[in-house]
Amino acid sequence: MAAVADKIEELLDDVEDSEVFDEILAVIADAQEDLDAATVKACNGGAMDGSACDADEDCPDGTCVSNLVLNGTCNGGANEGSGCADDADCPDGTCGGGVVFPSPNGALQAVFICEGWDESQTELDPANGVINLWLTLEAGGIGPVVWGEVDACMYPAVTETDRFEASYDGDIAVHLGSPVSTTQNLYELPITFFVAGIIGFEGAALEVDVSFRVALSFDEMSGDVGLDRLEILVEVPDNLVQVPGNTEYFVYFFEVATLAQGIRDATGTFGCSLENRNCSTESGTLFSW
Amino acid sequence: MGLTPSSARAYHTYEERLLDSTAYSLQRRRIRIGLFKLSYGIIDQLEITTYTMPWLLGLIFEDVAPNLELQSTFYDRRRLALSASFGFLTGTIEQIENVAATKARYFFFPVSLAASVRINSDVRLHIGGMFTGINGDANSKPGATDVEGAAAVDILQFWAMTEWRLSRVVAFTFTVRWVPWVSDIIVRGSLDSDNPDVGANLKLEFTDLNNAFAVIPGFVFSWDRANIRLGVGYGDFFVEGFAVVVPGSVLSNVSPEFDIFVRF
Repeated sequence: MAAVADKIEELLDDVEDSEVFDEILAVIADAQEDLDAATVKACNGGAMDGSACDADEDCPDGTCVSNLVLNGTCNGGANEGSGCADDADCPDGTCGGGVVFPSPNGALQAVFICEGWDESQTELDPANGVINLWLTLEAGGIGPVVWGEVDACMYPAVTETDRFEASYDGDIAVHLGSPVSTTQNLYELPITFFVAGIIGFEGAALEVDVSFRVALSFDEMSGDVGLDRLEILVEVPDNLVQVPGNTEYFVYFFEVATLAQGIRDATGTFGCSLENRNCSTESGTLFSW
Repeated sequence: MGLTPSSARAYHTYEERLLDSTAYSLQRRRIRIGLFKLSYGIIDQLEITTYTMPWLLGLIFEDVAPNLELQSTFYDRRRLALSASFGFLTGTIEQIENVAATKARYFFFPVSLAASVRINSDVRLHIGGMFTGINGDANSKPGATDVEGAAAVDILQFWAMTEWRLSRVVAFTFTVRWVPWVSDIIVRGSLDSDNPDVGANLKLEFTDLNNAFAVIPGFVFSWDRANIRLGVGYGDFFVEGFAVVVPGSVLSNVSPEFDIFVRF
């Protein structure tokens, strides 16, 4: 148990400090934003067929669907020549020439060149690493599963007072919980990550092969993303499983605001302290290491 | 003495056979010049063809649209002939509207097999199948931003034609064409070329063409050198030279067949 606890402590620190989840989520959010910019909602069927809409309630006897517009161009107005999805994107002009794909299915590929550690560097440099993600398109929205690979991505992990050198190299998979619309704020969702690779932080490297879930907070004014809760899925060592031959797991959680920590498994939830090296219930200490 | 007038060569005879939608090829050093096709018999079993309409489109859009088809009648006996053909067609269409310039390139790759069966001296049955791979991509430039997209679709079509020689000049044909399968169209487009570079692969169903068909009765008139093929039927429009199908709703379900050509 001591070795497991040490590993948990190491993982908690590196995942929280490196903010690898924020780096990946930012790329997904950017892709979602691009998709939203090319999306037009319109009624499919009913009396308002083809009219703009926000929800199904706007389409009597029909449904409000998300259509993807590619190659639309503003004609006239302030944005002449710019890409557009509908006339609303072209003040004093019109959007034309685009091809509309109704409620499309398919996939998006987002390729992101990492910022690197040099604050003074303004040009994109693939030597700083690349994040390559695949998202699925389901009826114009984004499917719950995102996957891809991160190739030696170097990025700054920034706090209010400091700037740290972080990196990640390896595979990545993300589960958003459910299909999301192009306007859903991803930072409001509990999101599960699977990472298999090497997390780097300030010169130290940790090899990881772990699933964890985050609950985030997003300050719209400042754009800062905060970590509220981190849950790590831990595999119980073979010598500690209750049923020999079984693979058993528990979740170790960490609440940032209250500093509360604990274990949640099939038998219940227990408060723990990695510093004091014990876990307990209200009635007393369960075990220590 | 029997003198065979040279002008008899073009009439419906055992040697002079229909070429369109059949397994037969032009004989060696024979030429066909027509409204829609230019063909040359390299050897008895091998014919090379170029379709005229793509070149005409290329002239209109000021860009060449090369296309070529090779057909080989690799088996030709009294009652049965078999052929295989493959070709390519590529071209570019450019459209400039206000500040946007869009250039679309297309590439067709049809491959076909055909069989012709001589039932008797007056009746022949011809059947065949064609698989066409189609790729296209578009490059659009609104202002300083490049937006690119590409699409791909595959089409499988079959045909069967009954040919009934009514006289030396007139042959009646009854053709059935059918598209049993069209692949989903995969369209590739770019949503954003900044950082991150976001590309989209969209899957669309080409429901209009799935099970497209046409039933076309017609006639082929063959004289000295001139030939006319005429027919009108019902269904979708199967376009020769492009190996594609236009949905029947576009032409009110009228499927025409027409060609004029000379053979010598």
